[in-house]
Amino acid sequence: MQQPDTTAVRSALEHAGVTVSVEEVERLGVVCRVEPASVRDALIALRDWEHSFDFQVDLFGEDTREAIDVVYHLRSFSRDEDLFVKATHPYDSVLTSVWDIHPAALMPERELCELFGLRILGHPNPKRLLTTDGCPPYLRKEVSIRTPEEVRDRASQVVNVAELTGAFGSIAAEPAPAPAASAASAGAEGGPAPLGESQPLLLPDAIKRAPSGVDHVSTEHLILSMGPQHPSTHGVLRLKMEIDGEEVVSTEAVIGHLHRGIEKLAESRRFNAVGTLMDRGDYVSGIHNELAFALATEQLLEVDVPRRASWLRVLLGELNRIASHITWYGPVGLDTGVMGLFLYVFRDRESLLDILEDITGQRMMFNYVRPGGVVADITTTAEAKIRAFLDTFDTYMDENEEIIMGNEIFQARTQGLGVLTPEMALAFGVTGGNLRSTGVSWDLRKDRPYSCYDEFDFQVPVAETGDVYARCQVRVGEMRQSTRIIRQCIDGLPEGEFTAKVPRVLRPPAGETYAAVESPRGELGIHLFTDGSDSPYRMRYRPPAMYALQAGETLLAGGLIADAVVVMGSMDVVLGEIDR
Amino acid sequence: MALDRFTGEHSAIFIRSEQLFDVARRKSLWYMAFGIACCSIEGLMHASGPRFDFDRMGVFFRASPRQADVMIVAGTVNWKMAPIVRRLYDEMPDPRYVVSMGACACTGGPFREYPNVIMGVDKIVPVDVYIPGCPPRPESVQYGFMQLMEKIKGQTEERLAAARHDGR
Repeated sequence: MQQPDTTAVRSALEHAGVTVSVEEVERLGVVCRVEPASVRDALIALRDWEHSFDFQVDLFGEDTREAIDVVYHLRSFSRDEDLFVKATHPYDSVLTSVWDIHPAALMPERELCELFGLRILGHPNPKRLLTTDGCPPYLRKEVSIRTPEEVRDRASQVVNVAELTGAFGSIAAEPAPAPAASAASAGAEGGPAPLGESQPLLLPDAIKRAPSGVDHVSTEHLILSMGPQHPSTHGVLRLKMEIDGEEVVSTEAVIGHLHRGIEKLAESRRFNAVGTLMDRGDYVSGIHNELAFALATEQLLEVDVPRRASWLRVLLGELNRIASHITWYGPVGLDTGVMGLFLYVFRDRESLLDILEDITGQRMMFNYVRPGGVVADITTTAEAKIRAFLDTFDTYMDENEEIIMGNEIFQARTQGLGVLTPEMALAFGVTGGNLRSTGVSWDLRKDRPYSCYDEFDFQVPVAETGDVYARCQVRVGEMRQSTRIIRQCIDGLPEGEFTAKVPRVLRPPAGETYAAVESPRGELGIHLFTDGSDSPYRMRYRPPAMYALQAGETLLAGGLIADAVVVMGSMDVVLGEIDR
Repeated sequence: MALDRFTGEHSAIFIRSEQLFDVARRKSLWYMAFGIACCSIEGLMHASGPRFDFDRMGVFFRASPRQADVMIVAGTVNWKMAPIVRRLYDEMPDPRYVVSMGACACTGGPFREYPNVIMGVDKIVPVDVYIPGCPPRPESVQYGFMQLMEKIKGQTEERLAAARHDGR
């Protein structure tokens, strides 16, 4: 990764008539500060510039105690550069949507506005994303979490059950218009659109695809609610689909049923303890979550991680990657009617969890990777277990692949279904296996190696077609590559310490940094703000699955209801990570 | 009225026939496939997977609450989720049981400080068995189900005691 040239960025923005101050922030990169009113011009200028910062990695906010900083994280794939655009919004001001420049902003903007109490202008679907009506803007510094007394006295919380069931009656209609909406008054900004139930739901017309309507029978559209209790939505995802007969006209994903405030709680945890929260974020790939946070902390602390610790991180990470892909592989079989596959792959997952438990002490919530290194060395029994696993897993993989990937029925069902084009994937901010299935080879392990990944010999599986079958091919290929990495790890594990010498209470200097890892679902980034105390000032968790879900919403349009389950399943979304 | 003495809730016919049904109930506790968070991987997927094999205990998943006996609340319940959990519970036919799995469902777990999280699912639905752990191992879930079976077994004694108390 290179840093963009500050003078070039400044001249490009000034050429477009944007007043900007460009500075190079230590440990982060180049940051452009612009006025809120000229954010759109700046983003358009950067997108159409020859350096083409056309990929929006992330969009989030930060409460500086004086105002809200909105951060647009942009990337240029052609030059492998990252750029941050920041705009300072006063409290309760209006954020102008940039979704038509970067569709990836659709969900993050809604989240930003509800969690920081901003209003929104020009968003096609300005509803609350994660919380329900009446919730305060949690991520503001003035909103506090429960005190220890409140927590200890569980009886203090009284829930009126009758009110709950009453509230459920209106769940088919969206619970609440965003604070953005209800509080918005027709101001100088041109009058925010009226919001709420009268608003046509779902995505803007530009993305909406009309059904084929071959027989020219005019039918009434139905709203079908799928989830959050549905056996195939892979968690508490609720899909609100507008259907015409069997065809899906448009889809809206309703999320937030698992919103637990990981970003907020991290602000009250010590740096060593945030790992426990990260584990529970994306709960099937805990090691990657911990690693992302540990890398960010280490960048601020400027700690050199011992080589053995990095290798152990890679080893555990790849074991975890297989375990995570298996949780996707089995249910994809269930979605398409292959029950047997679930039983076969979960046999393999049990032996994987045995290994992980042997090393870390837990089956799921490892809390193994800490800032500075890892928490324990590899055990001798684990080494034997890993070798035994590797000996059988390749054969099992062949068998499993025959059951599903080589199955003619499965191929007929999935090939050409839910086609994601590379343009669409990049526009929506999709990363990871979903992006690689469209032919874009982008893997942080290869392209921006972290944690000694450059010392390993492996390939990045890429498929061309972007359909459900291609996504399956990519993930199955990744599992095979992971076994290669594990084998190299176990054969050549370097001697040395498994953790660097770090103080018991970590106090990184005040600053800001971004660290990303290639989790099984894509680029999992941690944007960390510190103020010199022993806990983060603000932690932004970039959820790769949320961006995949945004793209998935549009993929379903134009398809059949029966295919919705398969398409959504193949995107590999984990709701714990999306809702945080 | 007279018939109630023979078939009512405190009659010998009712209590003894329920005792028979209880045998059937505890041998086939079908749970609802409803995983909220992390615990669902351990408690629903791994427990019914090949190693732990929940089926041998007569525990099997049903996709619809209408066909289920047990609801495993496997994850954090927040304000957005609470009405749905309650509605699913209301949709289940009697007799129904709730297993609160994991720290989050029992007390709010590591997220109990966040005001959006409900401190324990027992605020919303009555809970029969609490399984501690974060997440509990599949063995713990199976042990929890065995406790639930014991509880169902003890229902006859409770009914008899209630009948005796009523008769006095």
